[in-house]
Formats: sequence, C-alpha cells, structure tokens
Amino acid sequence: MRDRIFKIILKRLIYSILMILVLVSVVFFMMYLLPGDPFQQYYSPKLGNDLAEEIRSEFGFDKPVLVQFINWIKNVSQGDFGYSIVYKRPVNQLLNESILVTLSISMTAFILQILITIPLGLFLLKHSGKKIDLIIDKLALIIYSAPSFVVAIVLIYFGSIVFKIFPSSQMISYNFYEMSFSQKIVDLLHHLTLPVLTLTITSVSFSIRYLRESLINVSNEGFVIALRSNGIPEKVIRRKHILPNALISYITILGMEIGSLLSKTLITETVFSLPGMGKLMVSSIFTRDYPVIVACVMISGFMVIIGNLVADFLIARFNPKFSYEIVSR
Amino acid sequence: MSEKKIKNIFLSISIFILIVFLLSLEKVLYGLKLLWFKIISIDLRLISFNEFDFIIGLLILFVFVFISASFLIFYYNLFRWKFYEKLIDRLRNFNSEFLSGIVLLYLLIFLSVTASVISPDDPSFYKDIQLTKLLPPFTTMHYVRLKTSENFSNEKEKIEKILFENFIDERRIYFQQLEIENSKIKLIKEKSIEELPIENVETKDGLPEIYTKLFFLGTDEFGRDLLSRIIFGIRISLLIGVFSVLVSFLLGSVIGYSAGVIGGFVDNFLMRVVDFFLSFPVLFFVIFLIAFVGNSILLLVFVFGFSGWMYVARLARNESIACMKKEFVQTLILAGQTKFMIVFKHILPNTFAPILITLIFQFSNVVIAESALSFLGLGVQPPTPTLGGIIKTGYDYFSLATWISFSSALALIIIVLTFNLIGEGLKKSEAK
Repeated sequence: MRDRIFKIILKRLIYSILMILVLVSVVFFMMYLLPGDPFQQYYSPKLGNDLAEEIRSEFGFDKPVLVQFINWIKNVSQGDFGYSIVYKRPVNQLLNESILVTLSISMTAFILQILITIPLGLFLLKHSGKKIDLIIDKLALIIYSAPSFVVAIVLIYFGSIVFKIFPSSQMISYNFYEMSFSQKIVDLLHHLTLPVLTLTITSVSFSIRYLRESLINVSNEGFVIALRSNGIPEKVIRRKHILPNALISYITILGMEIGSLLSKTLITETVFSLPGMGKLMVSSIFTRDYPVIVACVMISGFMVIIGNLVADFLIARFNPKFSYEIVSR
Repeated sequence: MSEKKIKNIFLSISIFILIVFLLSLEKVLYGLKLLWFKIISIDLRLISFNEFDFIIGLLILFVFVFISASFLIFYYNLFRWKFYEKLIDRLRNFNSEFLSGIVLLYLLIFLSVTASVISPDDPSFYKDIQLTKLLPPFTTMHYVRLKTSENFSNEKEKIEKILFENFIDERRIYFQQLEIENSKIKLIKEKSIEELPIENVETKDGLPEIYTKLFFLGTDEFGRDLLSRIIFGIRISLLIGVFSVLVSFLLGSVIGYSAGVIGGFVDNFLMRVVDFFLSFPVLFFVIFLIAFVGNSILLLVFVFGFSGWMYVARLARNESIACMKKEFVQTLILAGQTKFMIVFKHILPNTFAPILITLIFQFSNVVIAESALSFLGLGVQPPTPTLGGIIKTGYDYFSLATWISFSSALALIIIVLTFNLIGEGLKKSEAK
C-alpha cells in the first residue's frame, strides 16, 4: 500500500515538474510574440531612445529571448524571480506580500467549507426526502448558479449598506499601524469577514450538492440495507459506513477546489479591492510586467498541480481500489 | 408533474408573450409596413444589419405569438389540437427540474431572438443625462418632441425613419414641469430652464403634445433604459455561450473520438495533451490572451471554446472505448464498415447523451466566465451591453442605485440556472 502511494507520488511529481516547465516556457515565449512593451513609457521625442535602451539593458531585456529564458531558469532554480519592471522591487517581495493575503482568505474559506459541508450533508441525509432537504438542495442550486461577484455584491448590500456592520472594501483601516496587536487582529477579521464568507458560500453551494448526491447513492447500496437489517442504529450507519464511502467523490471535488483557489479569489479580491495575488496578476498583465507575469503563472500552475496531487493521494488513501487506476494513468 | 400544472405553466408563458407583443405593438406595426415596402420594391440587398435583425425578430415574434394564441384557444377548449395533447402527454414524463429548465429556456430564446422588436428602447440610446440618469424602477418621465423639418421623398423612407429613429430618438426633450407663456414653452428641468417657440415642437390642438415614457427597470448612469440593456445583454451571453460550446464540442469530439477509436500511441499522446490543458489555470490564461491580443466577441468565443474542450474530449474517449467493445460495433468492423462511418453513424449517436450533459454544464460555466470577465472590464467592450458589465456599473453606483446590479444579476442567475436545471434533469433521467 505505502509502496504504491509512493510510486504514485513519484510518477506524478516528475510529470508535474515537466508540465510546469512547458507551461512557463509557453507563456515566456508567447509574451515576446504578442504585442506590447513594458518600456514604452520611457520613449520620448525629447530624450531619444537612450534612456529606454539603458533601462532595458539594466533589466536584461536586450539579450536574445533564449538567453533570457536560460538566465531566468538559472535564477529561479536559486529562488530568485528577478525584478519587477513597474514596481522596481524584487518579485519575491511582491509575491510574499500578496500570496499571504490570498492564502489567508482562501485557506480560511476552504477549511470553513469542509467544516460546514460535512455536517450539513449528514443533516440532509438524516432528513432526506423531507421538505428541508429539498429546500436546501434548491437553494444550493440557485446560489451555485450565481457567480461569486454576485454573491459578494449581495453580501455587501446586506453587510455594509443595510446593516452597516462590515466594511465593503480594503483589508486594513487607515489607522492600522497605530493600533495595538489585539486591535490589529480584530481589524483584520472585521475586514476579511465578507470576502471569506463570499468564498465559503460559493464553494459550499457547489460541494454540498455533490456530497448529498453521493451520500444518497451510497445509502441505497446493498451493504447499508444489510447493516440496517442487522439492527445497527441509524446514527452509526450514517457516520461510520455511509459517510466514509461518500467522502471519496467529495475529496475529488476538494482537490479541484485547491487547484482553482487562485482563479476563484481573483474576482473576490477585485470586488473587495484586497491586495492579493489575483489583483497583482491582472495589473501586471496590463502593464506588461513580464517577470511578475511569469512568476504568477508558475505559482498558479503549482497550485493546480498540487491540488490534483493531494486529491489523488487522499483518494488512494481512502479507496485502495482506486489507486491501481491512478498508477496506470 | 400533473397535466393541470403543466397546462397552467404554459398558460402563464403564453399570456406573458402576448402581453409583451401588445406592449410592442407600435413597433411591430411600423415593422410590418417596412417589410411590406421592402417586399414590393424588392431591394433586399439594401438591408442593413439592424433592419435584418429587426425583420428576423419580427417574423419569429409572430411564430411565438401564434403558438401562444393557439395554446390559449386550446386551453379554453375552443379548439382541440392533437399536437398540444401529445406535447403535454410527453412533457409529463419529464422530471420537474428538466421541465422548469425548458420553460425558462423557451423564455430566454424568446427574449434574445426578438430583442430588437420587444425592447422598449435602443440599448445604447441616451438623452438628457442630467434628468434621466439613475432612475429607480417604474419611473415615468414626460417629454415633448421637436418637429421634423425634413420632407420625405416617399412613404418607405418615412417608415424607415420613424421605425429606426422613433426609438433612437434625438428629438426627445425630457422635462419635469412645463409652462406655456405667450407662444413659448418653458421646459423646467432640474437645474436649467429651456425655452422653445411652440412651433418647434409637435402639437395637438394648439398645445404641445406631451409623451410619457415608462422605465420598467429604471435607468443606468447614462440614462439608458435598463430593461433594454438587460435584454440585449442576455442575447450576447447566450450568443457567446452557444458558439463557444459549439467550438469546444467540435474540438473535443474530434480529439476524443479519434483517441478512443484509433487507440495505441495516438490515444496516449492525445490524452497527455488533454492532461496538460486541464492543469492550465484557465481564467488566468483567458485574461492573458485578452490583454495581449485585444478583445472581440469572436476571440471570446474561441478562447472559451478552447478552455472547455478537454472535458468533452476525455468523456468522448472513454465512452467510445466502452462503445467499441460492444458487439454491434464489432460486427460492423467485421462487416468491413470504415472506422469513420462507424464513429459517425453508430458511436456518436450512442454516446451523445453524456456529452450533451457536459456541454450543457459547460454552457453555464461559459456564461459565468464571460460575465466575470465583463465585470473585470475585460470582456466585450462597454457600448455593447453585457450582463457582467451592467453589474459592474451598478456596483460603481451601488450606494445610489442598487437596482442596476440586482436586476442584471437576477437575469444572469436565471440564465445560468436554466442550463443547470436542464443539465440536472437530464442527468437524473440518464441515471434512471
């Protein structure tokens, strides 16, 4: 068993590294083929071309593309993503700041989602076929049909316009740096409640329907009927026999969610104007900030691949039957 | 679902369509006259895109009205029509989700095809921004109209002028109060007063004729009619959805079926390609392409089509491998049928149902992604109304006008919900 899982991880890891390499090189060469120049702002009829050329050579963009690519890979393997053209700061610094925001929002929402979905799924299974089950199912379908920015707008309407409890944008108050430590934490929580709620609601509405479906499917299987006829209490059947079997498909969904964390938070960050990865990505695409773009692509590729990896690993752990299939893939 | 329930649903749809038809009757009559002049003069090659859109919309509106009216007659037992009895009998077998999805789809198709006929205003027309901007729903505004000094050479030109300029009407002047002072009228607006000689406006019995306009859903920040914008936005969303799903179906099925049927090295290679594209951060890639290449509807269609074909390909491959093992396909191979014909005539129809379900869910994903892009300001560009763009402008004016965001968001949710319902219904009946 352990041997097989190790094999899976090794195979996937090699494959993933190759994939990221291809992804990054595609983006790297595409940027040079497509129109746009980050140094355009330095061209001026009064100054001539000297200034722009000087800055270009300072960033190392005057060399051939292939040399740049090799240099870039050399630097990245030492953990250096280069300098941002627009911000004039190391890309590592920018990424450190923004990834912290994104991860703190999305991971909180992710954990909250798991904590809400599983008990809710069990609750729906307990009341399956009754009115409350159907109502929650329909409600989840409607919320799932709403894009995340619509959910965010509705939350802003109720949270900060009607009831005026939470701020509608930004991550910190204007006097954040004068506060004491405990006040800082309260302030952050106050600001991040709505974004986290947005992400949680959208992902719960997505995953609860899958979990409910697979719970119902499992509960119709033969072994559940056998357990029931043996006189085992319903509560035990639900928790110890139906839930673990139903979790397998839920874990696949979780893996997908890890992969799409970045693209999900992208829109939420824009609505609440938080300084996260998504915002950095979009703004750097528009300013043609090449080093930042490539770094962002690499990180988002990593997120997707790590998500798939974690999901495969967990599935193999929960359902040994499935691990053969993964190995053979 | 009971027969009576289905009948009642269809009754309410029919009544809705008839009411919409009656509300747009003025435009329809002008359109008919225009169509008549077009036919008798046979200058069809001079039709512009707007006219073409209008005429097609008009013809299809009549089809919808005919269906609704005949259903009303059928409902009240004035006329027994086998077709409706059969239809309702068949619909009873479907589950409620699929049925409600189909009903919503019917309405969406009605709205989007006949958009140019039934929309009360042109989606990008605005006049007197100071007075008409950010009006709440169900506001009425009064206006007078300037007289036209132009003389039309013939009747056809006049109808054309009336049809396409009545609704994009530069001659409107909105006002809050109107006073008449010895052969001059004073139009009192919020901050200014405009004086006009009475001969310049359209009159009735010596007094200026006052028209009233009702904004059903209010107006946006430029004073454009929100209802019309939403109707046209629905149309754009559906357009992009349909074509991009078509692109991903074509690409995905070609790759998937060829991988499944040929097998061996080709299968292995194509599936690795699919895996590669699956691990792409899609939304990011879309933004990347759009920011560099620039955006048009065509590009959006291809980009969204390109971001969804992997699921179709994987499904098509798995289904076709399962189907190839079946006996009837083996028999066909032994009988000497070519692989292309087998795929086209036997495997495709047999494996189409699960692919169709994937495509329907793909459709709702595309609609969401398109609106998200418009919300970020990267989608179809502003003068064209898109639902995401309308939600964005509503969000910019959120403290002043909440209805802009909410009404367009509702339309968006309904579109996505329609396709999710149809997909869910099909999935359920497939599982049975």
